[in-house]
Amino acid sequence: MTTSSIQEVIEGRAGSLPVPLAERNWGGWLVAAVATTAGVASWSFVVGGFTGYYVDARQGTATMIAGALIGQLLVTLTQVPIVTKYGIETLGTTKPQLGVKGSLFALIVQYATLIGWNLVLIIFLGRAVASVLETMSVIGSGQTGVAAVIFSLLSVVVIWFVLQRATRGIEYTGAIVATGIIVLGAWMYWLLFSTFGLEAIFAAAPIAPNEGGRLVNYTTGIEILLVSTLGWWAYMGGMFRMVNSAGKGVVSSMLSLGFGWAAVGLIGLYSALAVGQADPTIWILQVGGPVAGVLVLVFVALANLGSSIVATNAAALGFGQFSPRTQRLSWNVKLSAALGPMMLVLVLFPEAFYDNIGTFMAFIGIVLAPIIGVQLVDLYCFRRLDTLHVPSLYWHDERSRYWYRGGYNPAGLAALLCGSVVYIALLDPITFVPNSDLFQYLTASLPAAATGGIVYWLGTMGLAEKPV
Amino acid sequence: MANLALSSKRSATGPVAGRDAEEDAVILALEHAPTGAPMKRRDYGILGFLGVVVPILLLAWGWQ
Repeated sequence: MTTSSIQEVIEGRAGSLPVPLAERNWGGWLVAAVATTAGVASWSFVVGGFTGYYVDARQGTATMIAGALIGQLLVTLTQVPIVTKYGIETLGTTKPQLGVKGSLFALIVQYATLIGWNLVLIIFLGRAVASVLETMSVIGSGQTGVAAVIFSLLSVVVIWFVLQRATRGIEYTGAIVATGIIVLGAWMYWLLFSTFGLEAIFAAAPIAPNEGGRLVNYTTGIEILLVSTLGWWAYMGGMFRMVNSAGKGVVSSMLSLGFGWAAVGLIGLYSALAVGQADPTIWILQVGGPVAGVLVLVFVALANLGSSIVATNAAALGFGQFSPRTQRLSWNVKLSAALGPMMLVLVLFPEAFYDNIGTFMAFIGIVLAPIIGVQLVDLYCFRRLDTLHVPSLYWHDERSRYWYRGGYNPAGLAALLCGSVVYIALLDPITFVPNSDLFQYLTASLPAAATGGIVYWLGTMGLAEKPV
Repeated sequence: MANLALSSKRSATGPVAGRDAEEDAVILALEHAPTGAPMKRRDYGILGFLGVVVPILLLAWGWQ
């Protein structure tokens, strides 16, 4: 093959190979807009409302923004420098730590995180549309269930069309969706404060605080945002690999997926404290009538579809990295691998899925902190940022430098296991009830990340003494 | 450091017989692909401010 034909192949396969530097033309504003569309969705309200169980408005404001910024600091350090330098996707960044085959574990975490949350958002969107149509007497009360499924399926079709041009599809929708989210979010803040009053919101007590004392509730507020924000790890590569310098990505990452999503989450916190209902779409509909109902619907549609589009793109990209076979699949097949399971769940058992997804996602969440700890050590202590061998990410046999032992890196996998155990030892991920007094001083995510990093460091150094 | 040492050993193994030569050529070419601009000290400074200083100040304010 000639050099130019090789270059053509690389350029034509950005869905499974790194994005060439010349094609990484997203600026700081565009990636910030796309990241905002990914970060802001119905889950922002859910997380804000959940925080309201433990802390009041002042403490909640502090813990939510601080927790999100700390979490996004860790995510940014593990993802932005490496994906902007090499143009690779999140799953590819895990192969040096987990091994070529061991990265299957990261793929499962990434895929489950993206598809699981996508389904939650799409089901929520379908229900919101059906609910508003019912309120406006467009459909009868007996038709809401079917209407919700139909609108959920239509959302999947929209995602399919937008992503026909892969990451480029996000480029066109990102700025529009982000602008809509910011304008409508500001309107919700105005409606909230003008309806209930700032003083009443800040005077409201937490809904159901833990009896362990002020510090444990304060730390719980931090932990909720910390562990939720670490979930952005799965989304990062799909967006930031379109940027050609780390400097452009840093501020965008921190402001959109750190500050931005927490700022919208505060609407959920204040709503929960003021009216006992985290989802502002419900009280806004009652207060504002049909016009407000339509505006709320536009917000939910933009926010949830925007997030789902970015997540589906990342899931399809991740799926395409795993093996030589998935690497060669067409973009539409990869897209189907991300959207197909969603369609099946939406048609077969949307209710059961929606009601039980929380438990599953809680356990997926505890693995993210150790993965991030492992990547921090690998990138900054072992200088992987400078020494990454890109071809080894795309060889799936002994030629890869990241083949280790049968394709698995024992040090990385042991680190994930130990980090997850530490998380559970400190905090029940489902009920958020501390399992140890240490939780109130340490949080659970930070020690889990630290444990993952330390075990990985020890494991990697220790293996040096043994024959290969 | 065995994993790192092992990495170097693996990379010296060379192409496996019967592999798709074109695919190998494409993947090998990635090694010399131009890379994006790395993080600068100023970027780490911004990260430190937004991810450490601001949260500490916020948490101190919220605790009062």
